[in-house]
Amino acid sequence: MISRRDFLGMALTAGAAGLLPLNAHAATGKVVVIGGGVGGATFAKYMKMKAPQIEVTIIEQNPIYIRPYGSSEVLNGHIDMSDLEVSYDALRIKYGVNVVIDKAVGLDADKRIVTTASGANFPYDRLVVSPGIELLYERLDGYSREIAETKAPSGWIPGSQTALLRDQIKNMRQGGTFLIVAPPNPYRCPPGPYERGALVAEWMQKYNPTGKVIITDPKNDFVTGPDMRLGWNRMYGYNVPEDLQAGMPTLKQHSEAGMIDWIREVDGGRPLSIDAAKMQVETEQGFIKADVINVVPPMKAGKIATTFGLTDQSGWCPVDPYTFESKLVANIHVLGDSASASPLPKSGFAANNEAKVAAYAIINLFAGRPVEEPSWENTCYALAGKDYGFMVIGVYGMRDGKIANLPRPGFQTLDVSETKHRLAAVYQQAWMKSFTEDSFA
Amino acid sequence: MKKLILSGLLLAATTSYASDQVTQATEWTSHSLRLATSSRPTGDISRGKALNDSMMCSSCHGKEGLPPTNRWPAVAGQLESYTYKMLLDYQSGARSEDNRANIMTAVADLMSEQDMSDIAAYYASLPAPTLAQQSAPALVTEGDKDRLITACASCHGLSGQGGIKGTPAIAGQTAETLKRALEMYRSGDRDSDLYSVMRQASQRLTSSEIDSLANYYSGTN
Repeated sequence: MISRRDFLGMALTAGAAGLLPLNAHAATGKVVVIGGGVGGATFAKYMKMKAPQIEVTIIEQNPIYIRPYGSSEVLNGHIDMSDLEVSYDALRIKYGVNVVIDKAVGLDADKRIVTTASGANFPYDRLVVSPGIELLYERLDGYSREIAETKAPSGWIPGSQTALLRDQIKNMRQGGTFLIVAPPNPYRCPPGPYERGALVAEWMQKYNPTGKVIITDPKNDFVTGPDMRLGWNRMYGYNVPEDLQAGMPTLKQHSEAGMIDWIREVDGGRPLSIDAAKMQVETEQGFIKADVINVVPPMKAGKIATTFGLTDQSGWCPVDPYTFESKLVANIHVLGDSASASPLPKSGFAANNEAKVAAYAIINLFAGRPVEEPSWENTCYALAGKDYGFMVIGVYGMRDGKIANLPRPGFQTLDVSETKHRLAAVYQQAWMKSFTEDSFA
Repeated sequence: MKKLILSGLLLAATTSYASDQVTQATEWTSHSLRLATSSRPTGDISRGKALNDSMMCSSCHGKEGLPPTNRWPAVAGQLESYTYKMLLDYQSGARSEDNRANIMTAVADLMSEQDMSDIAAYYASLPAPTLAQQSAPALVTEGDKDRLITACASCHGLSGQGGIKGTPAIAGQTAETLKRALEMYRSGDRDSDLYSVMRQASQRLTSSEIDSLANYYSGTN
């Protein structure tokens, strides 16, 4: 990596940062992190591990983190809401991160000060903003936060809506319909809505065998699409549309309608409005009535990113890929879902990787050293059933000044043995633990 | 004395219902182990090689039985009966000491006895790593009579080749695997060893002795 350093790129970033005499060992400074999710926590931990002398403060609203990754497993009773809870104790005690439970509300970018709701001021040399996503409930006609919290939950940011959705599914009448309204790109956790459908279908096989899962979609495909559809085909009576069968192993032909139906954009799947009183969703192909409706609305960068002027017209935050420093406000770095870092996906795994890269970059900037050429990786694990998993792996690096997909060894082809699906499910479960540990403990 | 009585009891307890079960989550006896390994189907090396890929063994243990990182065990040249026993132990849940064991249980669960035997035959056919030239710690050649620790070599052989009383080959095994094994035998988390031999042997080892033995056998001294 060192041999491939891009000196021009580094000189530019160091120049933009307006830094500091060269001093290889004395990387000192004050870093404030807004948001204690995967991006913020991983950043703080790795920064303190590498440079304990740097003062790191996390400002986070909630005293306990509720992890979004794997939270659909609450819906099928595989885990409880309490299993999603992650403590900040290790960051505090083991790594000496100052975790402040408060809400960031104001910014003075010239003086480099963040103000919180309680009125405290936090001066910084570098600010890291990792606020996740804001759900745009109102983008779907008839939908709102209030409806999401009472009638048709989203649960895309886990919490009380997740628990509500779980209870609704559990109490649904026999033979009822569970409808998922899938989001447009880009969104957090690309395989998530489809995995959710599969997990609920698996649950229904046992507890509501005449129930049905419908996913209505403004898109025509999704990440892990072929793997997921193969799983649906094998387990839930789903017939893969002919134009999506290329490259797939022998499929089952189901004569009757299966438990899962996926309505693509080409088939009129785009959602137009929701009528929560009638419990129906209008799509381009017509109305769908359902007993439980789960809307994954369009989303954009977490609210504080917008408040601080870090977002562009896309709703996401443009960043310098070497440091993830905002292209709009100097000395502020944006991590995780909020950052525009395509082709890096909006996943926890990617946020964790971005955080590590940014932590080292900022340490180098503090020390007056050049920033190293970064590389990242991502793995999305997904389940089509409790013992049926798969994954997509990406490796990313800099090409022509942009983040690019790098060639990588293939891992899972579609025509894989049962062992691989079984193992991928085991890996997914192990990953939930080890990943949480890597980010928070 | 206590140990002898214990194993006698276990033998009595297992024989009452284990006659038609080859795999068992109860403790092995030399009789049940001999029965299980000697009655295994004959292994087919080329089928084992194919299974090594299709069952995804190779993603951690390597295509030729040598792992890509030292975090996973080398299996090249391992004794056929030992690999077979391990797979039985994973399948039955007798080995369930950690998440790695859970991974192996998920795989072994899908294997027939023929599959296990084929894979064992394939690994046994691969050239075993050898012991690096170096001076052996006293524990290896002499043990420690004051602490009643048997010399490792008395069962694993002077060059770590294994095969005595069903022991595995450990020469050239990855250091992390050896450390993990000794630590988990010592804590009792790993407990599928015949008559607690390894649990006993490791019980009085210090952590630095475990490190030095792992380094010696892995050749990372």
